[in-house]
Amino acid sequence: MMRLAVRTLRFRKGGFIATFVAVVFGTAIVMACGGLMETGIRSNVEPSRLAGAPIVVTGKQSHLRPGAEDATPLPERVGVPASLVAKIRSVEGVSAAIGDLTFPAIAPDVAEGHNWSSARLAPYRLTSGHAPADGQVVTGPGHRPGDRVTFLINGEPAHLVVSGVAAGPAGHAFFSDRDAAQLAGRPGRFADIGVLVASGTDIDAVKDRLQALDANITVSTGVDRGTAEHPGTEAQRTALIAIAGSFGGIATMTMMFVVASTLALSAQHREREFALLRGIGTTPGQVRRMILGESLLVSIPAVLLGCVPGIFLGRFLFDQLGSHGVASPVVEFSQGPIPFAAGAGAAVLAAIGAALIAARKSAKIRPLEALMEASLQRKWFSWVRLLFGLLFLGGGLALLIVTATVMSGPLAGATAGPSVLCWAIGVALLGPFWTKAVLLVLRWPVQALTGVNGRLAILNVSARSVAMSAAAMPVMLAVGISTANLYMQTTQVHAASEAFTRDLRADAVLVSPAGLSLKLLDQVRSVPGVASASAFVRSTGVIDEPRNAPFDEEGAPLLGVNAQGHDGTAPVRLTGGSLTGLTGSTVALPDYVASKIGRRIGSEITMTLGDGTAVKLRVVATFAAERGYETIILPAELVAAHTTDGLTKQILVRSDPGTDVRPALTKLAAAHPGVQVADRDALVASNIEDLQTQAWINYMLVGMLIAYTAVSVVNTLVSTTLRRRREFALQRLTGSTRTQVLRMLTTESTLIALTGILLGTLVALACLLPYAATVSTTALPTGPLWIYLVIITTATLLTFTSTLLPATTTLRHSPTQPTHTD
Amino acid sequence: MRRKQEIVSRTEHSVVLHDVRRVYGRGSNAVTALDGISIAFARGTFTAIMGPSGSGKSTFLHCAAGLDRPTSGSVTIDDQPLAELNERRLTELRRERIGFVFQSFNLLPALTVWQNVCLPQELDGRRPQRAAVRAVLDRVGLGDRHKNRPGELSGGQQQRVAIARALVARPAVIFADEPTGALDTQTAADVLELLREPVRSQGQTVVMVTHDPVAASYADQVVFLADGVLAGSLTAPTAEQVADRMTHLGARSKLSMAVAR
Repeated sequence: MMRLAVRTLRFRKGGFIATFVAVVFGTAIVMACGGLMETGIRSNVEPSRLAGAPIVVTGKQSHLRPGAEDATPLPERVGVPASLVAKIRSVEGVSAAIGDLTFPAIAPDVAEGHNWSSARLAPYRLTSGHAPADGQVVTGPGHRPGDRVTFLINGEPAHLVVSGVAAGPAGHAFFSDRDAAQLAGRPGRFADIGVLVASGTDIDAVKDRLQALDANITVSTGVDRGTAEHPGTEAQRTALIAIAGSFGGIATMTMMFVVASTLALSAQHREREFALLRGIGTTPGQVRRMILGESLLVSIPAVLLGCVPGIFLGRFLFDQLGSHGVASPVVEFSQGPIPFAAGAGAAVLAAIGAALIAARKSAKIRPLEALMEASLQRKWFSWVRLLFGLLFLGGGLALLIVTATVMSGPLAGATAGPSVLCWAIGVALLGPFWTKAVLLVLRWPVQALTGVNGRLAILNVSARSVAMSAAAMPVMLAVGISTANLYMQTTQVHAASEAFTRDLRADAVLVSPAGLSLKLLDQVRSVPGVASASAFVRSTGVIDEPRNAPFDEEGAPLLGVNAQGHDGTAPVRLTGGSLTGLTGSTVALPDYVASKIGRRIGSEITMTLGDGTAVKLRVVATFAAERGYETIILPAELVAAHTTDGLTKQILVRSDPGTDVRPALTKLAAAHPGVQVADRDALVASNIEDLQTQAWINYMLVGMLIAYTAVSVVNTLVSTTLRRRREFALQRLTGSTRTQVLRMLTTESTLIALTGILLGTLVALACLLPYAATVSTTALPTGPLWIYLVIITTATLLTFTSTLLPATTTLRHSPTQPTHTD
Repeated sequence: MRRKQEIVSRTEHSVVLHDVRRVYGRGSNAVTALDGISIAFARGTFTAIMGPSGSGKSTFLHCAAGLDRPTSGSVTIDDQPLAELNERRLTELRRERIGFVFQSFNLLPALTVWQNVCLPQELDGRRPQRAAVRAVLDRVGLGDRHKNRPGELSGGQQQRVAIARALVARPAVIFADEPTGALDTQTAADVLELLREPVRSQGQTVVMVTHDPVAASYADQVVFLADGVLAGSLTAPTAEQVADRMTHLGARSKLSMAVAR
């Protein structure tokens, strides 16, 4: 049968192009996702500044909440106690252990400052000058010994003299050990410890001995050392794995669906051929093997070809994710053989599965049934189909109910996303039924508007409602999936920014990436017209005690603000207590969280902050918060002290009513390098930008899915139209002009597009309404209307061009000219 | 009795139909296409089946050839009752013992003439006998066109390829469904000669459904069908005789319809 498959393929290349393209796309997308996932799992960061130390000891960047199963990744640098250095030195095989201090120090070409002794870990080598004494610094080339350089450290300018120039990885400056310890601001702790061993030592053995010292440290060798330099990669790694996983899954499912539909279509269009084969003695098994053989012959080269864009697509996606801050740009993209195997395997399996589905019916029919059925309407109904259709619709309904009742806030996307797929597949399986229902509705207006051609078109599509449904279903899928996914994004972004701005009472904000000092905060407070001002710091933490706090293993968002009265800037509506006492070890909790864990004002909770420090906190206030957007409020100093850079980067300012404090603030900022003043809108915008970043990934991924379903739309319509050549010729022989045939097709396309768009919109609404009701306050999804307009315009254009273009080419020939290929 | 019939059929008959009924649809929509037909086709004969439209001749051919299963009654080909075979075995039997020539769409457009003729043997897992294929193609006058695809041939040529494909496996019986329906008179005559020739030379059995009296006149005997039952036969017919009989059949059919009303 393989030989027959080869011959058929060689002859019917056209019919398999869509399958080929779909498999190429699918392979590339699945492979790219596999690459992203592998990158996430490996999280290879090339060590640079610590490359000279074969072993690097860091704190454990995760925290296991008591009673929890999964550890929460800690976003801030945990660090190691200085006392560990001596213990490490005494371990057998260690020749030296050097504590490394890291702190932000902003100057041209410099981002981080370190202690000079850690320069050995790269290693840096002095090319001129000498090691730094107090008040001195060693920089990279670009400065000369004796130059004066101003650094911004903790929001304050610091003037230092260059004592020497060292060659090594760029972006780092080295201070005297005493200066560094003071500037790093975390007494008794190092960011990490670099361990040197004598050459020829068994590094793995040393690593095991070091790990045995303390359970709260991570000992890294080889490429893992890179993460020690960039502690934030852990949280991004989880995000990357999640994105790659969910999108890879959806892409595989869509590929299966598209490949199955293209193969089924080509099998359906060749029913006469199968009938003849069966008639002259081909057994059902042989027909099945032939279809399977064809699909393998198409998909295997397609898979091989798909590997090429797969490599680049993965890297491209990773670069994009990196530049949008979703993935860490320091992580190396790695795509080993596993993603290749996964992409190729998924594509081949999808093709085989699709071929088996397509072959089932073609192989089972008796030759005579096939001969008759080929010219008549294909029977679409089967109990299996009804069963699966109802199962998928039931699944969609169940997910809808779960979305509306059980899920809260941003989590609703977890059930709303799959629900649209369930709805869409359910509707597609029972397509002819839905198509007929829609046609009943559309029938009268179309007939009234378009006269004879319209009537002919209506007759056509009604008589061929199964074929019509086959054409309208891909349109429905594309419209439904894209509308639902895109508006889920916009609704989510809108709801989140609503939740943020509703309580935001700042009139202006001071921003500096190099940090804002406490001194500046005092100066801001003394500006005339300023009612109150507060630092604004974000991090992530975990409530350890009580254990039933309603946060998942990703932890709870923390917000650090200064103690303040009723005229404060904190974006909350207090329901109990006050923020005037928010200093030292205190906390303000959302009502929902407080009631869930049974804590009131005055009682205590235990939290682990972003850098793994456990603190006991007294509850001083409770406030109202949107479900799903709960934040825990802590004193700003407490949060800032437990972040990687220890900086306050924003100060929120509230002015007296009727006064504009911005000119005065701008003047103040001018005296402080790096500080900028923004208004409330800028604050909102920067918040939205964060949300947009996440949304952006989804836009990109959804975009690829849409392109994918478009393949299916075009394929279905083009091949269906080409197949009707005879019918068109007959119409022209019986007196229709070319224009009339085209006009009839236009009406048909309109009906197909309308049906697809109508059903797609219904499917999208079935997912969006409960989703919007859950994440926001209204059931109506929010988002710009133009997205929907673009979707339906594209769907309509695709439908029209892929019907009318091939029809025009066909009609160019004389109607009497025989068509041999049928 | 039954035993005796089997012995008779083994020696003389390629195809035996016994009380074959075929009903389409159910309940009030039921249409009886064949209403108890018994007939046997002897080896080495060329039979034409004739009848007005709707007389059940196509259904007859499909049932006799194992393409369709009768509602009741039995069909036996080369002593093998078809009813006891499953779909796969039935298909294999068709491949080995039956050749087909349809009115149109006879050939796979993707394959060349040569490949089309070899196809049944390849499906059977056999190596095509090149000499036999060449001989058959020469016999139908297409020895020089074996590399062409069906799309490049005229209707008559395509039909001749189909006959070559039916002949090359040397089946027990060849069924032809309106083989000349789409051809002009001269081409039709060529095709009919090709069908008749192996009957004479190799003792092949041919059963052909047609509505063309001229085509029927090439057969050894003509069997008439009307309203799903046998309506007589003619041996060594001429076109005039057949046409005459057909006219009567058509009239009777109309009459019976009028009476039914």
